[in-house]
Amino acid sequence: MGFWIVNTPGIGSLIVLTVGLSVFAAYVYMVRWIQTAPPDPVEIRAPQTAGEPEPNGTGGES
Amino acid sequence: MMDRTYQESELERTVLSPLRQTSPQFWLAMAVLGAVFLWGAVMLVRQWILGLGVTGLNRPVYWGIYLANFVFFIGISHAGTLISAILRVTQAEWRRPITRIAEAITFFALILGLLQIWIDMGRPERVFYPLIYGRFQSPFLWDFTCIGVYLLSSTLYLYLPMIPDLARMRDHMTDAPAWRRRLYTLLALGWHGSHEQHRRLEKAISIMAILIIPIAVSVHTVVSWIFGMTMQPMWHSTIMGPYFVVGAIFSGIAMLFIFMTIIRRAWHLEKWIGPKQYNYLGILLLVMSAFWAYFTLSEYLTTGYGSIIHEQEVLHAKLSEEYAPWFWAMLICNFVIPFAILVWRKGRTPTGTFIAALAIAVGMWIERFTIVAPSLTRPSLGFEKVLYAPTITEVAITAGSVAFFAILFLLFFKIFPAISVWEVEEGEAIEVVHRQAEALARQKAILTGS
Repeated sequence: MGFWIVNTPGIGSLIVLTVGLSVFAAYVYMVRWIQTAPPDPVEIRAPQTAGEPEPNGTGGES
Repeated sequence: MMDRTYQESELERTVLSPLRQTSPQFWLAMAVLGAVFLWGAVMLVRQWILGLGVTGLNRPVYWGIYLANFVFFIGISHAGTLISAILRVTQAEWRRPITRIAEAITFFALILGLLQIWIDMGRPERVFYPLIYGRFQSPFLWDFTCIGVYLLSSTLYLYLPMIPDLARMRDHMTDAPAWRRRLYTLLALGWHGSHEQHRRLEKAISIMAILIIPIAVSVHTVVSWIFGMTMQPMWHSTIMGPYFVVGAIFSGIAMLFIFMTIIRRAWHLEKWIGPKQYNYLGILLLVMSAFWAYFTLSEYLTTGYGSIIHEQEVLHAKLSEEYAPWFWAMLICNFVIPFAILVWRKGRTPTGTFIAALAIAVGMWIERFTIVAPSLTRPSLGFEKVLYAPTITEVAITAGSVAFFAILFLLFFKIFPAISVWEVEEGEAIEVVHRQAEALARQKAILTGS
């Protein structure tokens, strides 16, 4: 079996192609993994209530 | 029109400037290189029409300078990826401005290396023969496997650190032609630069940097086995693998110096590619020169003392007969000139290292030639001594290949930035933090009186 694998024309090429395509698939997966990373969460601020002071210290109930 | 609301940094402006405008010198260089390439291409077509008889190849010298070119190009492909990967893994901060140039050399050198095999086959359609008739007992197939994986890995290793820069160009180089904007958009992969995306990119680059080192070593080891697995005198040697790898790294660093210096000068990158890079890489080149000399001495001394008759004939051909001028020129180029220049701190300047690197590039090509040709002119099995002299066809195709390599390299850096902008900016930010930390430590020491 081992002799047949290493000594049959074309089988070697299939081995090369299998290795090459596997590596290619792994690298495509790696690139996709980077591409599909989620964006940073958008900072959502709660709507201000009447009693809450403004960030600059103005407004709100005094 | 440029995006007016965006303020470019000095680095970005300088790096992107050659992408926006083209100097007359660039067109002149392209014209000269293009003419040489055309000469080589015409001679290649002529070789396809008339056959390999137009070369100096004959029986038993079935490999000549095309194979020397193949080994040379595959050797210089170690410039990039291996050097860049080692420096990345060891976190050498000075690597940041030069990694992209190194990685691009790898990519184009590999393509040119593979083209040499195609040229050596004599007919274009024979490129399919290894696929049809390939048997895995042949080291050629091992070579195809390793080079194929190395090419895929080097392409990704060149591409990954480019993504943030491509996104920057997609967003801000609105003055670029439409096809280039489309290209940047396509290659930027929708990069938005979130923390998670940055983390994944850094992780992928780290994985590739570690993976690529054994792959690169395997490539040149297997290239050497194409020679080492035969019974030819001075090829059938266990030292060939490491000897080839050392030679590859040596010629790779030299090629990095040559292209780094050209790009630095032509693209005005003196502020970022400076004395630090030349000094550290110069020391590395010196060390590799010493390694190469050590391996050469080991190989030739062992052969000399072995007194095996076929090997003695090849050795004499190199030391004192028709290949002696090549052999001694190789020693001068690879050892004497680099040592005379690089051993001094004052020699490790852009000019000094450029001269040393040019000598090494020539010397390493000669080394490949003196490995390939002399052994075949005096083979083990029953041939009379023959001569091999490259014809004008081989010289033209070799010159055309070198010109093609330079054209691809220059065109690449007319479209993409020669320095990894985001990585250099990251390095500058790290340096600022380090300086602040040192200042704080000094203040603390003063306050505590220690």
